[in-house]
Amino acid sequence: MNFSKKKINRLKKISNYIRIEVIKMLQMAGSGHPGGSLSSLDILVCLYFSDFLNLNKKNYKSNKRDLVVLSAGHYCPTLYAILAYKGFFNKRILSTLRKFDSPLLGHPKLYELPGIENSGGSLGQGISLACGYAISAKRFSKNKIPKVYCLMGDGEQNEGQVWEAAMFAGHNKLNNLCAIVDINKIQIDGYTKDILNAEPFEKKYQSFNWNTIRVDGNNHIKIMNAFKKFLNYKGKKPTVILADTVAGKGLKSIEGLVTSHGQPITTKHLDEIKKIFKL
Amino acid sequence: MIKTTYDYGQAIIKESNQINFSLEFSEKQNFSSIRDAYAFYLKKILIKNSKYVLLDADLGTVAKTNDLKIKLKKRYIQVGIAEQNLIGIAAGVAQFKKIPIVQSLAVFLTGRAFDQIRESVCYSELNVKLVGMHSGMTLSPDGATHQTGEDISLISSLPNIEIYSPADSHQLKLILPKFLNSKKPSYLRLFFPKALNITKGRKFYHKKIQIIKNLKKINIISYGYMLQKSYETVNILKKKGIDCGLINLHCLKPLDYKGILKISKKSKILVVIEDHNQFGGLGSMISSYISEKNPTKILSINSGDKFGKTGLPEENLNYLGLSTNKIVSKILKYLKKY
Repeated sequence: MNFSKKKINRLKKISNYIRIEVIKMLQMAGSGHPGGSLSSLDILVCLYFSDFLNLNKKNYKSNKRDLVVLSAGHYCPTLYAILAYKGFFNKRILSTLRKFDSPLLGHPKLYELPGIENSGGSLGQGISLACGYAISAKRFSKNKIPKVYCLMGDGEQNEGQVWEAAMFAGHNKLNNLCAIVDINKIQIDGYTKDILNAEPFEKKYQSFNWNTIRVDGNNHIKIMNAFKKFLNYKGKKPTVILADTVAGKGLKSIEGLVTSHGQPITTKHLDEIKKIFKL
Repeated sequence: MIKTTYDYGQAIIKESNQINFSLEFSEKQNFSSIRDAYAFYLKKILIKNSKYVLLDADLGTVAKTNDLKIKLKKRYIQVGIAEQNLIGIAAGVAQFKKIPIVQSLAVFLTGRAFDQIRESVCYSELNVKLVGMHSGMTLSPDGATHQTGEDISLISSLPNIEIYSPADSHQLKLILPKFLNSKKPSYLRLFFPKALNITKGRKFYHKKIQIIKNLKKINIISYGYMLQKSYETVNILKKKGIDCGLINLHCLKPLDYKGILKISKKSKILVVIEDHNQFGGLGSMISSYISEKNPTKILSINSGDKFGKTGLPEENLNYLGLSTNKIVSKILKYLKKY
């Protein structure tokens, strides 16, 4: 997999578009989770808008597709915006986020719209589902084995189920599985290092027989290099990309703050982002 | 569509069968243990049908399905002692368009993994088959940690799921293919002790009430292992000159409300017997429905609001007021009062 400067610039540009879209959506909704939605945004953009992911609006029901599981369900505004920009559904419904009876639920529901691959809200469940799909893909695929990507938060690593699944993936040598931990260093009640410190992630995952890659999760080149490492990996272990990110990335007034987790986005924030991107 | 009309004691068959496969085995197979029957019939079905995947959480030996590991090869997944992960893995298998069958002790499956069943299975509407072994209060030597007095309450509170509770091996044979063929998430509730095949030779309509003894003024409704105790109760009461009807329910969700309403209209007193906690079991379901539609006197006999003890099944049932003698005396006491 090669990526030129042009490709990276394109990804950066898309990130900007999606970032503005997500902030608009959160402002209209009046509630939501800007911290994680914005910290993980560059990772999700790299995943969906590069050419290695075998998932599109035509094959999203096929068993040949790659699976993307959003275990940290509260990051969903970013997923919704990306799927809409990818043409999975109409962009117009993005403004209905969190509104009554909208398919864009506050936390995603499986198959509510094309491309939504899991129900997420209760943390720690997505990684098990990803493992279930990954082992099935390995055992029952006739030709090319689909890849499975699963995005989790660093606060989510508190959940015991994550480690049950980590043990399962390592034991079963699910080398078609790529977990991504968005390490934005915050959770609702404080900094993750103060609430329940899960570091060092590398040592933990390595001891569960995982291949680990640590990167800057808001740097497109480094994210793409991490995915490249996973795709070129010839070993038998599952891979985890440990991505250091900044909570609320892009919206300077909330960046890195614990409160960015669930801070309501107002017109003030909207003006701020418009100023940054000179809209 | 399954249509059934009731003529009380004698129901008339009017049903079209949508089942993809049925079990046609020699009638000589007459299991007294529902677990043995489950293991036997499951093997027959699974070996032939490649769409099913069997998942264990280190309790395959208890389910007596250990040899399936070799026969199913790739279609067998062992997840270890991790019920939460077990349900998540099953959901992922279902996403891959296979049908996962998940086995564990009823108490761990429904209790430990309740949130996973809620979000990854029921809310996601993924076709996962849950098999809860040793449900109820009869796995008594192991103590209350292994007994299940709350599974019906927990699972019935979840939308999109079906609950099947066969009363004996004969009924399991009828239900198992329907349970596996159902497009919805489903929970199959098995029990530990040996049981007489009481339902053998009785008319059976899928998801409908089953009349074991013709309706009288006093009618007993039960399910699962407690049908055994209810059957003995009816016989003892008959000797005392009190005639009771007996109804078995093999499907607790969706509940055959129409059938139950018709029974209530024929009854002076309904007695519901179950080895389940008093909250959220069949007694609760029937009481809340009947009190609205056709208020009838209902005597609910269950394990009350307490945990079981260790000891023999019969001893534990006696402690919980669910031995045949205790049930009979409870009914007699109620009849004196009302």
